[in-house]
Amino acid sequence: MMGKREAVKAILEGKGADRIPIIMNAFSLPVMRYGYTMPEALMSPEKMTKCMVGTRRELGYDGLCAGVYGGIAMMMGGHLPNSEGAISGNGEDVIHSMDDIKKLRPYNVDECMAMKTLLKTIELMREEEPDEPIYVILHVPAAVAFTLMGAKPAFKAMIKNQELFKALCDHVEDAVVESCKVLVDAGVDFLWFPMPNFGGFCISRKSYEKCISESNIRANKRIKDYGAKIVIHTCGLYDDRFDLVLKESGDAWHISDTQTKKVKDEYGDKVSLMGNIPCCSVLMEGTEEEVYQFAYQECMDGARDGRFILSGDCDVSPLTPDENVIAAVRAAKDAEKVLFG
Amino acid sequence: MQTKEEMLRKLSDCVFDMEDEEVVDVVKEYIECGYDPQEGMLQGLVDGMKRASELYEEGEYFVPELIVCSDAMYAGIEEFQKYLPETENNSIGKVAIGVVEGDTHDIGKNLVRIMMETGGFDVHDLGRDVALDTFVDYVRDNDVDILCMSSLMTTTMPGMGIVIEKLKEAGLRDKVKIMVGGAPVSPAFAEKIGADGYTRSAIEAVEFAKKLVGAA
Repeated sequence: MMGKREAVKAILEGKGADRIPIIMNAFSLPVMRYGYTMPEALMSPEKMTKCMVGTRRELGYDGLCAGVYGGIAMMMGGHLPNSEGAISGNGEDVIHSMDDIKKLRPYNVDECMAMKTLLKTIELMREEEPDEPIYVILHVPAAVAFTLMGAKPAFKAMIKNQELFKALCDHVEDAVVESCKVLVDAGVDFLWFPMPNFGGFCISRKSYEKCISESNIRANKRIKDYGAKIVIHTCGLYDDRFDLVLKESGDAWHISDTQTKKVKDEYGDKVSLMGNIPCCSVLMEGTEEEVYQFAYQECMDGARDGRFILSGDCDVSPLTPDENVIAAVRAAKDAEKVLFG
Repeated sequence: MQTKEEMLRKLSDCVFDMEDEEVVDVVKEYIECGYDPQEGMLQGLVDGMKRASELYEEGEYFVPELIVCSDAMYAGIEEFQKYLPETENNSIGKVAIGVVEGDTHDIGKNLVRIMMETGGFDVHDLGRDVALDTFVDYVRDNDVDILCMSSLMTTTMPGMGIVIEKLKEAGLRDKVKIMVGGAPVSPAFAEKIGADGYTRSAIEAVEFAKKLVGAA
């Protein structure tokens, strides 16, 4: 049987593996399980490593999330006032015109404290668990632009001023690509790009195509040129726009709010899949048996060609009972025996 | 001069077509024609927002479209208010709404607020990242029919249950109906924490709220 990292690599390269990795995408669960706050964990490589490794071992799933990288908006726009006139330091809600873009600071990944912390975390995790796949959650240019503009102005710009939104995406693209290169060089197994749920639930296909997809196609290609493996998390209802996502060069899609079998039938020969146990209605609120059945069926629907990673459909809630996560792991192991002997 | 019906349609279209800058001129034109401002607001602007809501339900409009439509509606209402000698309270119920502590995602909450206002409710917006005790204090100190709470994150959603417990402890639970919402929230969760209801969308929220106050 392949090792875990080897299996994930094979899946992301479209070759298929002889096992079903169970990467639960549990981020807030380990942090809260160990009694940390999010900022506390994100700022401490030791705490992050302790809670991620500890929870993974306790619940038996695979993979380690090294953190969420939000350093770009912070570094480029943290000095600017938001729409309420306050300087929050996080770079949210600070860009509302073309002139504002000129006020952004240059990005220097080598001087970014958030990146330094993240690299240290990756190093500690790799020492602690050399055989576990490590990934980082990182925002695509459109998501960075969304943060810099703030939700309402960004949504409004998608209708009334698409040029502003697209100009901001273009402006931050180098920073995103540069950050990805550093993380690839640090040895992460894949980069996990959440299309924030504004992509699927909140905006039209037309807005998605113009404001997000065009930028993703260009940026992801550049990122992949550095050898990165990309998992695109389609958070929301993407059924009407998976054809657009297909052009964005993801090595896998981490799907949600859809049916794995349906996506597998339509796109399974073109892209590997990850997902898709509903984190709230099944993992958090379901019984152990319901979780087992759902997870088992997911594996049977998604892993017949060995190109599937079992996961929740988004971040696993900290309120999820341990036995439910363990049931999902057990289901994948049982499905693995049936599918791969 | 255009007829009142034509002008009402023009106002409605400004909102529906997201003309948030043009709407003010249309309001002025309507007033210059001598037509009733109250009627212009309700049968013009609010009608446009209702039409936009219908397209949202049908999956034709999305959140950005609704945001621009509501901006157009509020820009028009602001202009109309200059011509209203006194406001008449035709509210069908009082609502307090907020996003619970630790969560700053307020787009959904804002849409519910807008739809509630469009639907005839008097809405007090407590904002986002609202301390749990603030909800309790507001219910205690004000005459409120419905308390609406939302959360987009699983880490903050338990806060809604804590508010309900605090209301019970303060003997205030029976004073107010409680609705909850947000992406991770489900009917089962709403029932579990003792809320009176959950709705999936802003449009459904208005209809449900009307039922709660007997106005449906």
